[in-house]
Amino acid sequence: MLTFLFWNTNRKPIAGLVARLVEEHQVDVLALAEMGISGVEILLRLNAGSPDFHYAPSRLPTAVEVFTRFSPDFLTPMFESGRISIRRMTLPARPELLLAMMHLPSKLHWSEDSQALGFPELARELRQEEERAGHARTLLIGDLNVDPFEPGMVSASGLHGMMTRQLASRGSRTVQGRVYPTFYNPMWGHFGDRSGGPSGTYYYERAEQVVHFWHIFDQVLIRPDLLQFCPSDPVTIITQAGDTPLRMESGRPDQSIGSDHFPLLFKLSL
Amino acid sequence: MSSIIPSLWPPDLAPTVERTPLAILKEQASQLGAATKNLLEGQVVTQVFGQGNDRRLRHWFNIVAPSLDRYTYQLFVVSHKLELYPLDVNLVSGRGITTLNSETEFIAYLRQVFASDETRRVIGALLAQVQS
Repeated sequence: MLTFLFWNTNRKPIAGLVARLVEEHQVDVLALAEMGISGVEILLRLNAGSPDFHYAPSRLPTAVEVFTRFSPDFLTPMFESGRISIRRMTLPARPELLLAMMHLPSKLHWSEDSQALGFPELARELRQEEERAGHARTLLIGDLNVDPFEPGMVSASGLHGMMTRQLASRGSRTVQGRVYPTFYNPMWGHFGDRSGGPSGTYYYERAEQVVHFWHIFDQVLIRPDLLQFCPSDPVTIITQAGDTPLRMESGRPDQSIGSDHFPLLFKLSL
Repeated sequence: MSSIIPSLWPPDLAPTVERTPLAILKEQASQLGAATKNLLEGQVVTQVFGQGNDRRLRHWFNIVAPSLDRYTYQLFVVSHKLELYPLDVNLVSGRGITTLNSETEFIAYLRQVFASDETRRVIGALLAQVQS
């Protein structure tokens, strides 16, 4: 089993909470966005006991920092930009993966149209790296700053994220003669009261007509070629680090303790 | 009609030694990470050079600082023929080539190099910059 943890830490100095989560869930790959402290400080916390973790920096400054329980030699950067890092994960005796990690522009600075128009470009970059790698066992993880139902996430030329495993397992869909590969987006199942966890990963409210309150900007998407390794409930939105609650009584993220985002835990049976 | 010739190789082919210089170097590279909480990591890079049966294996022992844009300091290089010993060690900081005739000599030499003022100075400087 490979365990991934992603957290947008909102520039908070919360290395202790991060290390507690990593220990508690036996995380193998830790990806952090908006780090408020240096990678070295995180590494020292992660390795306060035994030195199991490695810092796996990107070649170019990227919005997501990565730490691994295995040698970073097994996580080779393939494509990098200021916001995206696509790496090839080549662990011995396991199928190779492409791990795409990202923190995309916020709604505070980009219009929804601009956000949506960025997704076809991202989808092309992913397909290009899949062609170079010779497979499409791709796992996408990050703070995308859009909800799973928004056009860039759902559109065929965008990430083409399907709300059910069965839909995604079609593999691709043809629109106007062009074939577009699918992603499974398990985050759909985490909205509202019936998810069993919080109603989203991020809460935002203001006085205007249309407000969703809860958002799932932090997402994990899985290509159909990885579905065979994907448990039935692969993603958990974390609300507790050890005995420290990360949410207030209202259920919203408690920024006085942690971040304004909840962390995501994701498992693959590899 | 020709019959199939069975394998003429003996069935008990096995490594001649339990630990190669490369295995020792890799273990020490890993131990550097353990000693510095992985702020610094050891790295061994192997190349083959020369021609025909005179080819030699060359193992570079490097100290890498992942958080300093993977700054890499080459500490020494070990080279040997197929037979492993004797092997030559060349410290990048000078002293010329030292020839070692056995695993015991090799391990004693490594202990001396790792504890040397020069190595401590390099590691101290890297740690200071990593943590600044």
